[in-house]
Amino acid sequence: MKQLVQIKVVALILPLLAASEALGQDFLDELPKSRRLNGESTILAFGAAGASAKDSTLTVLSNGKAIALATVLDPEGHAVTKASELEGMEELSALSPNGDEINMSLISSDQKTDLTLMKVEPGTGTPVRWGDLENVHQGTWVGSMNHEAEKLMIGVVSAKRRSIGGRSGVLGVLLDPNDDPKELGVAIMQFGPNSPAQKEGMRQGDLVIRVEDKEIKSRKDISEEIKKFAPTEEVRLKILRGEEGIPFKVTLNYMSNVFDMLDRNQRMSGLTSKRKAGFSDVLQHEIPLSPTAMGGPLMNLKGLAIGVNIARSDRVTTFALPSLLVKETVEKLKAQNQGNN
Amino acid sequence: MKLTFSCLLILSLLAMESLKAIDTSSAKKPSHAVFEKKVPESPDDLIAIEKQVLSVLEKSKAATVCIQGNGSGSGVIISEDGLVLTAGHVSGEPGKKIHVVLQDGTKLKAKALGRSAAADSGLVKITEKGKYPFVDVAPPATVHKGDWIFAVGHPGGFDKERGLVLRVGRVIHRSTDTIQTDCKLIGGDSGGPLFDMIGRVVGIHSRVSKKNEQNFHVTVRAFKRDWDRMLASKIVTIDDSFAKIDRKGGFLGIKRVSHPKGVLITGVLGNSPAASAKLRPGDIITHVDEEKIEDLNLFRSLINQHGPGEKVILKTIKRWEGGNDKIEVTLGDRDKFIPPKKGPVPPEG
Repeated sequence: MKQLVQIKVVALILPLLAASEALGQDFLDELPKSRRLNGESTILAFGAAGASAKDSTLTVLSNGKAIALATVLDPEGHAVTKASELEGMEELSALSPNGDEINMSLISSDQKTDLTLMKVEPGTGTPVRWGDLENVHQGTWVGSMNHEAEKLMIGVVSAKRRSIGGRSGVLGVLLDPNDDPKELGVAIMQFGPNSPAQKEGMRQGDLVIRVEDKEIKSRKDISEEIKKFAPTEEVRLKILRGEEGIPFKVTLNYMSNVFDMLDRNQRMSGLTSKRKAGFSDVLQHEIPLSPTAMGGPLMNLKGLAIGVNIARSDRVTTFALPSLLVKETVEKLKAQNQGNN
Repeated sequence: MKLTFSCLLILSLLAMESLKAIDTSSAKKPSHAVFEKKVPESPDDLIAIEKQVLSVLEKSKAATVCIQGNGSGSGVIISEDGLVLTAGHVSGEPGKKIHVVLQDGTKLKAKALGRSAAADSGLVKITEKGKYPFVDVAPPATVHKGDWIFAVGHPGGFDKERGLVLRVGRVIHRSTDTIQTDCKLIGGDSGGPLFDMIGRVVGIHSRVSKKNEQNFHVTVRAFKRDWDRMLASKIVTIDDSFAKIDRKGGFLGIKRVSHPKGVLITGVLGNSPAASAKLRPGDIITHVDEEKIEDLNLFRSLINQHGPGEKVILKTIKRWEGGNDKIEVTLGDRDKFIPPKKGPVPPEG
């Protein structure tokens, strides 16, 4: 059996995909959409906290298209958003809570939390009021704005607060599972979709004999070396093709960009964030937000932000960074920026 | 062997240990006003829902398990000796040795019992002796459209750091075999329990819809119907299921379609018992023998279990007169109205 590198393959039992229910209208015998969990009538119960979510949420645009949300931090116009969603994006601007398109600039970002500090005109939106996590537990109601901050969506904190490992980038290759750990080199059997290794010209049957300065004898050797690098970082490899040794430089891709298409649960999840792992501390909730709705505040029923949404992970999972971690990161980024000036 | 529905009802009265588990119901309805409202109207209403869920969450989670053997699914323990309800596609081949994992990670030996291919219900038995945390199962048809419910399971497989995952939502629709909710599900959740607000199992996660907030659960009624056969490690096929049970020959004489309130009569055969009872197209039959009609299959089976000359009591909403009348109808002989066909029996009842 072929096995993926750097990805735990969990065989899952899949609920059968039922016939399409894609009709906009209410069926006579169904609960009207407005009364469902995220129906128009139900979310009104979130009350003033819903208004707070809206007032403290900005939309980040690239070429006029919404790519992320941001949380308003202070009256000076500072805000935080999700860094990896902005990678390579051009013509950035923002939408204020009342829908005006405004200028924005990026200040600096933090690899660990995937947060970027940004700035808009002073006085834009209402600075978020932070809440602590003392009374937050599985089942606590939370609310956040969805794509382009158009609609409040609600749900509950759904699992334990924890860290999410596996931040590293990937080569996007399937390696020979029958490698001999005594012999030099491991063969590439196949490439995943969007494989950066394939893009650089590697071929099926190539033997990976060196990653950085490490000699490769087993698949484990490769994964241990690659694990040290984040997505978008460059790794040096040496390939043996026939008698010829060829050096390569590969810019690692996000695991999601390569392996999501091979993962059934991801395929049934629709769009998810390209970076959804490698966080030291997250709250997990069930709000079905679009991956373009990351960076906005996660509100409790009192209208206090207990976190900032950082990754849409799958059909049932959204992660938020807890408020304290966001505050600490913002302070660090602000201090760095002052140091630079 | 084919069993009739009436036979199943009698079986359910027997004091079988495991059947008791599915018939137990001691808890009371939640008292807060939000549970009577069409929608929650304030943060306080939402908090009432949260508190209600929290009051039963730990017990619900303790009984919820991960089932490993045919990939990774979920399930729920419903008796102290370790009988587990799950989805048919999670329990798999009857007799197969599988594992059940408690939320603390304890891995127990288990065996697949029977399953229903018709309803996607399945049973598993923990084979290691012990006293296991379990929950009550609600009586059939106690959950209704609009009810608040919550789902628990192991989406994506067992993950001790994350623990069991909670989702809160409402019942969108319920038919005899299926509850539809807006609780979000994914692979690995299959077989996990859907709970009512007092922590009783009302459904088992079965299928997902393309839409994220529209997913499907097997009803308790579907489990009960095939209970003895599943307990005997049989695979119940669609043909065995009550949708096509043996007819006893009673005949009413109507054409009908399903309707949110029961079955809607679209045609009445001349000189039939229905015609004598003055049923007319446009009338709705809401109950047969005091049993509420949730869909066509149930209606069909309730009529089919009677022979010619037997009486049924129908509750009907008359299109012209209104009201919900009780009518006693003496069924006719099907063979006199419709000559028996040779070959396969048609599905119509």
